[in-house]
Amino acid sequence: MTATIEAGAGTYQRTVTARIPVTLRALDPIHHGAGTAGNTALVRMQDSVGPDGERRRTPFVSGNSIRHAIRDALAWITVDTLQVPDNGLPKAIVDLLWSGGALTETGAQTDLRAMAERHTLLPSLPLLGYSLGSDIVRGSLRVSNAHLACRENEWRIPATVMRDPSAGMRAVDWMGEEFGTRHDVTGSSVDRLVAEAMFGDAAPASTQMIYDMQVIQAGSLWAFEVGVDAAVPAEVDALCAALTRVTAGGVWRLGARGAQGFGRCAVVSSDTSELTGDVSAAAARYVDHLSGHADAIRALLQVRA
Amino acid sequence: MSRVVRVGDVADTVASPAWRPFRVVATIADPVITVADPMHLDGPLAYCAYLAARESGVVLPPLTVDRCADFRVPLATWTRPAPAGTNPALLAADGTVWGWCCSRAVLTEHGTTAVEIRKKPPTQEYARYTTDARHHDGLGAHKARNITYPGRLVTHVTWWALGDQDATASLLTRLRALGRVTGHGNGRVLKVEVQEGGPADRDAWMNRDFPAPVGRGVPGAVRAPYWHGTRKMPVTPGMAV
Repeated sequence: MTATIEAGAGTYQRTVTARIPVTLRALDPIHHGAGTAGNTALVRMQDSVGPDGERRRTPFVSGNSIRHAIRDALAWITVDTLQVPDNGLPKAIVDLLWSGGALTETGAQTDLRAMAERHTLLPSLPLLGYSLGSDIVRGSLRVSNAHLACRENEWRIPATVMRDPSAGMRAVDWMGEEFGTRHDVTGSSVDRLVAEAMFGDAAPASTQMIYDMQVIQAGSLWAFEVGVDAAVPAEVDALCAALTRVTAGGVWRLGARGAQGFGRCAVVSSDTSELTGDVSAAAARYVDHLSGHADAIRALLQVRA
Repeated sequence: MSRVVRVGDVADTVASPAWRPFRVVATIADPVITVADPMHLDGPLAYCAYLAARESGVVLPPLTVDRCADFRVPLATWTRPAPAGTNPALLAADGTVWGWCCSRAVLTEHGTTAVEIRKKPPTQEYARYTTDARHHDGLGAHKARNITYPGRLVTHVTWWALGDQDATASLLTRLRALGRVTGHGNGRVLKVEVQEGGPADRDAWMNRDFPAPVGRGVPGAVRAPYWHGTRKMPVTPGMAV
């Protein structure tokens, strides 16, 4: 006996498969960490082999990190638009919005209706992919690692980017080190105040600290791709809303320690022509969708009043 | 023409002169996460056919645990006698097992590496939006994770196939990555070249898995989607030609 499976009649929503090549120039040093040596935080390095068969190590910013920037933007757009109050969400939902969720139940049964409703109400979920209950849902978002435009990466960086004079340098020439300190109050008036208030006659121990981190220096060029595979129009709108937020003011923050001023990059180019004709309109449509279905989405996210 | 294969249409077309041998070479930009997956060409090709179908908006049959469609790809089809107990979903109308005429991937490999993917719990957002008093980074469903995958340093991936070279090249314009965890940039495909083969290459596609006789073979699959339960069967690798 054989089973016959055929495509049905009618149509579904047309999906979009698109790539957005992005080029950034670092305005401040970039740190994307991977462990420490002593008290120096090291940058992540990737092993690769070029067409010449030669093995090389170059600093990179992981696609996972860039995905998180997009997820973080969509989470903030969601809670801002829905005006979620402080202490107003269950932990599992906060984890779902900012971190992709987790498997929290056993069982092999999937509530397909609930999943479809979830995807319709909050298209950021099927865009990014997530885990919830006993389900793992693959997202349509595709993000590449961000690679430094340097001599070692010439074979995998677009030729238009490699024409920049800075791209002719070696990766090692872009590596640098930054340091931070924690202000030491020992011996100061603050020290005496703290000592009197908290420790009696005993002075507090020194709190001096210096920490170092490897960085890739300002001026470096970075290339990567953001894209989607078979994204429905609502997912495209969600991605446009995220990109609008992530690139606000023409600046994209790459890597870690953004609060300390690291990772600020100017958007040199971002070709969204394969994705949509009008990113701003799509982004506005997404926010309108959230506003228009606010009550249902609040119920879905179990928002407490 | 339907986007998916009707079982009644399937026949052995290996000898048809309409199909010609060709080679597909993908240049890889980032480490590929895979251990022992033979990565036959019809896997990525069927995924590209799926993307093309979705782009056109046609209704596709639902994918369930016991049913999945065979997307039509521009390759010849082979048939082999079906071992006893073969899943009916793998059979052609005449009761043989069928598959697409394409080889497994041959990786030009230069070593291995580790690919780490991390998940940082959103503790600041927990503090603001939840009423929970504590969060433990190392316990529970929402703990921090650092997952290390085995990466292979691959410069090129090569397949041989028998079919329509131009239609294959057109479908493969959608091929973005190979291996696992590709949404994070792993196994990124920089470019795909499709090169015409000669008469001597006509059997090169046979470097692939075929159904194994009863009681022999290793676990595998013979047709895309290779991960789907209905496609699993004992296989024996074909010989490199």
